[in-house]
Amino acid sequence: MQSVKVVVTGPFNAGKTTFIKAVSEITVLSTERQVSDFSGEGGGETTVAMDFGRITVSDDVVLYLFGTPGQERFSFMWETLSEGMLGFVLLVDALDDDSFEDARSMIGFFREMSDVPFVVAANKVAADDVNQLRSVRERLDLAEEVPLLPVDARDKDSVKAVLLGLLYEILESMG
Amino acid sequence: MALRGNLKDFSLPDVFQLVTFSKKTGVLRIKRADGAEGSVWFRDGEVFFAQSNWHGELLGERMVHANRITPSALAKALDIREAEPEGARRLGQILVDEGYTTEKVLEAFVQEQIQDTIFDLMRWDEGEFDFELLPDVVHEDIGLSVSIENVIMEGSRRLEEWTRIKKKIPSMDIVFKMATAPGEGTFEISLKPIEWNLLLLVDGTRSVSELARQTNRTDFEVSRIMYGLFSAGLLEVAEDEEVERLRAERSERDKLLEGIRAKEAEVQKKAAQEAIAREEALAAQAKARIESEKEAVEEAVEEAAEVEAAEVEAAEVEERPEPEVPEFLVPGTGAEATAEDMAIFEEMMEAVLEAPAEEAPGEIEEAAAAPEPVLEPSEPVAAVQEPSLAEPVAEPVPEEEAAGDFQADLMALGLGELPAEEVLAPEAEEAPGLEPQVPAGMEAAGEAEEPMILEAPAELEAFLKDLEPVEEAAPAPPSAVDEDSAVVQAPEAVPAVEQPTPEGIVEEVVAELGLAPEEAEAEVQFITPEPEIEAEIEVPSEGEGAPDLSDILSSLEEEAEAEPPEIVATSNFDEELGEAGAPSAGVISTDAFLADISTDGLDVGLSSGLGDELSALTGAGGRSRPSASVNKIPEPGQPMELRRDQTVDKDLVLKIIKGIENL
Repeated sequence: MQSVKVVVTGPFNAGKTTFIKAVSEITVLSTERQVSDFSGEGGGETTVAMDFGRITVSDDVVLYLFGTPGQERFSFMWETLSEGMLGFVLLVDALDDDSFEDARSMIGFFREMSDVPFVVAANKVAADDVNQLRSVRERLDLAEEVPLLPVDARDKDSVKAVLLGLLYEILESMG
Repeated sequence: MALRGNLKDFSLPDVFQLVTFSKKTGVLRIKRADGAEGSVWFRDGEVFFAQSNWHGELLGERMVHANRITPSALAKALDIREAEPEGARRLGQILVDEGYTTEKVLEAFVQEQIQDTIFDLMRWDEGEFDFELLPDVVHEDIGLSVSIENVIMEGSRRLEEWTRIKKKIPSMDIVFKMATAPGEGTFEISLKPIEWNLLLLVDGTRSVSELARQTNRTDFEVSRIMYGLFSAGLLEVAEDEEVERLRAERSERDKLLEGIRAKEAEVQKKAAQEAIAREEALAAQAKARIESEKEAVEEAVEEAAEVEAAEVEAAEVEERPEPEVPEFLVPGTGAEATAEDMAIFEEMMEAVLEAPAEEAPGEIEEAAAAPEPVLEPSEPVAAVQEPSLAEPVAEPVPEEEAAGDFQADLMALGLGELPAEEVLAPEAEEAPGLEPQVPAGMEAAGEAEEPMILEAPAELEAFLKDLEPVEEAAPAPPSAVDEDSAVVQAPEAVPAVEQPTPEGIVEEVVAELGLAPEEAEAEVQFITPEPEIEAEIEVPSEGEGAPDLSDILSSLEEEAEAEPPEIVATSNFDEELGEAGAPSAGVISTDAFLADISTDGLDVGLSSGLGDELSALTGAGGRSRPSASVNKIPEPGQPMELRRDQTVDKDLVLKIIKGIENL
């Protein structure tokens, strides 16, 4: 059985766990816990080690999705989780202005560490909201050649479209 | 120059060669008597673009079927194109400009479309062709620009497969039915999803072309799959009389079904109308009641009115329905992770959790050197002697059990105390003297303020706190219970000098028990798990916090009990398959038959479309059921540089794309 890995990363509270849950065929294994008591950064739960989902592509190929923790204090895990990945999705909450700084820094981190293909997915953006996408691109200082895709992390089809976008990027990078 | 003729006299490859040799620019138009038309554009002798009105799937539809754009996006783009003057932007360009897709994706689809068109044209054995020389071809943003040799080779390869397929499926009108006896001695039938999909539709009434239409696939694709199914003995050709009889039956069934659906729709409509009428009546009643209440309220004092309004408001808030939760977010939905998944998860978890520990060994020593709390003299002894405390901790966990390893990993981080703690909790209440001992590791790391071990939420908080200083300091040593567990599982791997904290605790406990350390260790080592211990581990936590981790752990325990035999069987079977290169006896699979039309030896370039489909759908084509792992965890201390998985090639990515599209 051949397995390949795609990493889903992004700032804190961008929706990475939801993204993986939307498309994983297994119950996503998450290491989450309440954070509001500690950091005061938002409410609910956050991933502290990783999320783990699976998509069986065919009889002999399995795609594993690894979600990284969003908070930078867990950044030591990003490298380990990302080793051997095929590519990564950087998920950003388009409605969370405060997260763009972190997203820029994460893009910088991954690009410095590796040249694997990636796409940026703007969560909570309607598929036809071109203006919003343009705004996200500007705020992330994204070059035109970096694919920026709208996504609703709760919607399987939307998440599929992002994964396909990434896979086409990967295909393109192979020449 | 005018080049005209009939495909009966000159085959398309011959015409292609002629154009290539003369390095001409122009368009080759082919027309059939039945109205089918196709065109191939050449630029300097190289194929540049092709289109046809025969069995062709439009670009927009193709992208919708592949889930690259939504039907509404396509509709909007088509509307825009309608509104624009003729000859303005093409559909693909509109899709890109409007942000529905990217140039790269569009290019991939257009290229695929062109390749398929050329292959279709090469299958024509009659038709008038006419090559028109042009000073320059129409400008196309996206074209193939590949040498004609590759086009011919690719087309020839497909034609060769097509010839082989046609031996068993001579016509697209042929009708198959399910075989009554799929093979003697068969104990397993191995099918790909698309094969299953087609089998469901095979009922002795649908022709191959109808199957292609219903599954939105090309006739070539469907024919190839049907070829495999037929060769494997799963299908039989239906006799004409039988087809007619079955079609008549199906028609009756369809009519009946239609009638039932119509009735259902009518009933639903009626029910909906009744419901609306009821709602309206209720609304009228409510309105009347509100009006009467209003009158009453007007008579009442202002304070009473305010109170009542507040109550109504509160009632409204209570009646508000719960927000709908997407199905996938409901806990418990989705398949459980398999043991293989867990092994990968566990491996990754181990790597993630070990990395920081390696980075800051000094901090471990510092933490270990911190003063340890003094144990209460009597209660810990009593507690340790209790089987419910000692035995689960001492339970040896086989290395191959994914759940056990995973649990050990969690324990190593401080996450894994749950099961042990669940067992401990009642004991700890009876023996409070344990409390100072339990958070020893935490205290050593300066985190001993809270009694974290005895309550699940506190324990998780400890984990978070452990993680926080990890970047600049080593993670806090796990609790005493964890370390005991670690010592029991691998005593030789934990030198007493290097890890004084857990050893010290063990020694203290041992001292309290009045045993020599060697005796104690040996004694602990030889404790065997008993059924009732298992049962105790399964006992749900008393704590309210019972976080999702406990769910994970319990599911792991279930997996560990249930999965291993299946895994062994599966992996052995896969090995057999791999060694034999074909299904073993007693197994029906289309692999062996489809391997006949393997693309080996004709690995030429234009595309990969068919070869990928072949391997994606059948596993044939020299890449049957490979065995590899994506996880290339770096050794501790290795410089961190992210690398792409080098085992993955273009074919595999195409395969994954296909798989995701069909998800």
